[in-house]
Amino acid sequence: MLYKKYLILITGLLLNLPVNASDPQIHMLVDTCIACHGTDGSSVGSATPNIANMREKLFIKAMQDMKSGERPSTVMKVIATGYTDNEIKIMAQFFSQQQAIPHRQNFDVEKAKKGRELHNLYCNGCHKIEGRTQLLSNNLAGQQMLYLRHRLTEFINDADPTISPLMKNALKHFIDNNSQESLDDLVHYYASLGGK
Amino acid sequence: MANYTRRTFLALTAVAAGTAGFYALTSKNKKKVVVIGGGASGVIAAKYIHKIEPDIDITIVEQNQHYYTCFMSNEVIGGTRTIESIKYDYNNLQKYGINIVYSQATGIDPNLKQVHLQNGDNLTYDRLIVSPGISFNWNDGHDETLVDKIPHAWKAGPQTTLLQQQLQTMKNGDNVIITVPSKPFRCPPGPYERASLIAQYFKRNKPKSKVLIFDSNQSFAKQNLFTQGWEQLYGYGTDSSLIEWIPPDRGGKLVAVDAAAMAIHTSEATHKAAVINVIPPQKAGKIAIDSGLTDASGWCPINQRTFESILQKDIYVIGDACIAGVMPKSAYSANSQAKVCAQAVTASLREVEMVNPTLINTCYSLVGDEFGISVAGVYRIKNGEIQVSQDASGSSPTQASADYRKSEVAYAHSLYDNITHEMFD
Repeated sequence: MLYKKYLILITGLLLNLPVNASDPQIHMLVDTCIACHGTDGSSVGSATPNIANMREKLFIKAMQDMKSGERPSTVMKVIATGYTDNEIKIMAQFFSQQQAIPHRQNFDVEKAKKGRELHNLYCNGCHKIEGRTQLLSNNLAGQQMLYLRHRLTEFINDADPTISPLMKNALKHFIDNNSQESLDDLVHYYASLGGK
Repeated sequence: MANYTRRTFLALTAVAAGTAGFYALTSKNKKKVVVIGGGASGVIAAKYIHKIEPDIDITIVEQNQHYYTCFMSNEVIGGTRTIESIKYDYNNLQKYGINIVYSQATGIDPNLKQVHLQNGDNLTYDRLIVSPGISFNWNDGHDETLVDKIPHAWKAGPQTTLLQQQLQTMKNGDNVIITVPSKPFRCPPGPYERASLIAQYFKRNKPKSKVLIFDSNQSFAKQNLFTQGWEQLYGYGTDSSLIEWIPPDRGGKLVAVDAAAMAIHTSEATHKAAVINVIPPQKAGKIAIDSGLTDASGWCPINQRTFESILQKDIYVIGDACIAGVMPKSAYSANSQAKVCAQAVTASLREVEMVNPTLINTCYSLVGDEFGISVAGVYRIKNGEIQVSQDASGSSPTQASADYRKSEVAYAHSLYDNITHEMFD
C-alpha cells in the first residue's frame, strides 16, 4: 500500500518533467559520437559530417548500411556494429532534434556564387535550404567540404550501392548538363552557408 | 501493487530521487567536484558534469597554463605541423563557470575529503576526479635531469619541440634511436607513428639517415598495417630501409642508457646514435600513486561501470591512469571515459542509479602524409568488466586503396579538430 501511495506521487513528478528532459541513457549513447562529429553533431572537422538535424530515417539507414557493409565506410562499420537497432533509433531521434550549428569554412566566393545558381537549378527541389520539409533529404547548409567531396566522389564512382535512385539520376543529369568539376561549386556554396 | 514489479518501482523511485536531488543541489550548499589534471579526460569530465548539472561547483587543478595535445604531436616531430597548432589554453572554461586553479596537487586526504595544493591551499570536495595521465619508471641511466639531452617527448610541449629540433640539426647519415617500453603505455601505436613520420622527414631531407626502433615488445599495435606502410613508403625490409624494428628476440630490449656517450645498452649490444628518444616505462601520474589509488601494476583499478576507485571512496580515476578493461590508453578512450564518469558522479550526487555505460575508442595513426590507419571499438560492461560490444572492434583493412589510406588521414585530422574543440571551446 505504501508503494502505491508513492507511485501516485512519483507518477505526478514524472508527468511534470519537461519533454526534453536530458535522459542520461540517451546521452550515454550519443555523447560517444561527439569527439568525431562535433558537439551535439555539429562538426568542426572537414572530413566528418555534421549529423545534427539529420533526418531520423536517413540516420538509421546510414548506420544500418554501414553496419552491413553495403555502404562503404572506414571506422563507422565497426562502430555501427557495436549498437543495437534500438540504440541506433534512439541516436537517430536525438540527432534529428539537434539544431545544426554550421561552422565557418574556407570557401571561394566566386565558386560559391556559381554553386548557388546550380543548387537552385538542380538540387533545391529535394535539398531545400530554406523551409526544409522533405523527410528524406539531408540538410546541406554548412556541411563539411571534405565530406561532401568524398561522398560525391563515391556517388560518381558508383562506390556506394545504397545511394537513392533519385540522387543518382539527379547527379547524372547535373553532370550531363554541366561538368564533374562544377560539382565543386556546390561544395563551396554549401560551405558558404556556414557560421561566422 | 499488482501491475508494478519491484524493479519498476525502484526505477521510478530513482527518477523521483533524482528530481529531489536536483533541487537539493540548487540550494545554497552547492556540491563540490574537484578534477586533478586538465587533459583529454579531466576537461571533458568537468564540462559534462557542468552540462548535466550546472549547479555543481567544479574546479580543475592543473599545473600548466597551456596544454599541448600529445595527439598529433608526432606531426610536429616530423615537421609537418607547428607546435603552436597543438597548443591550447583553459580560458574558455570560464564560460561554463568551471574554476581553474593553476597549481600542482600534492596530496589527497580521503577522510577530510581535501586536495592539498602546492600553493598552500586546500580544496574540499564531495567527489574527486583524478585524471593525472602518466608518470615514468625511469630506465637505468635516464631520468628527468637528462631529458634535455635524451628527450622522451611522451608528454607534449617543450619535449616535442626539442626532439623535432634535434632531428633538424642532426646530419644526413646520422641515425635516431627510439626505445619502446613494455606494455601497457600511453598511446600504444604512438612509437611506430613517430618512427613513420621521422622516416618521412628523412626521406625528404636526410635520405641517408635511419630510424632504429628498439622494442621491449615482441609485437605492437596495428603492426601489419604499419609494416605495409613502411614497405610502401620507406623501403622497409630492404637494405636501404629508413626504418629498422628490433624486437626483444633480436636484442631490442633496452637495459640502460648512457647519456654521456649518446648510447643505449640492450641485452645484446651497445648502440650509438646522434638522437636518442627514450620512451620510458610508464605508470599512473604521481598524485595517483602517492594517494594510494594504484595497485601493484602501477595503474589505478576502478569500478568498471562508474570509474570510481576500488581503493578509495568518492574518488574517480579516468584517462591513461586507470585500468579500463580492454580499452587502450588513447585520447578518445579518455574522452569517452570522462563522459561515463560525469554520468556516474552526477548520479552519485543525486543518489540515483547510474545508467548503463557505452564507450568508444577511435584511434588513427599516420604512417605518412597520405597514409592513415585506424583502430576502433565500442565497449560496454560485461560480467563487470569493460569489454568489446557485439564484436565491434577492428582496424583498417590490410587490402585498401590509396584513396582509402588518404581518407583516413583526413578523418584523423577531423577527429583532432572536433576533440580539441570539444575540450577547449
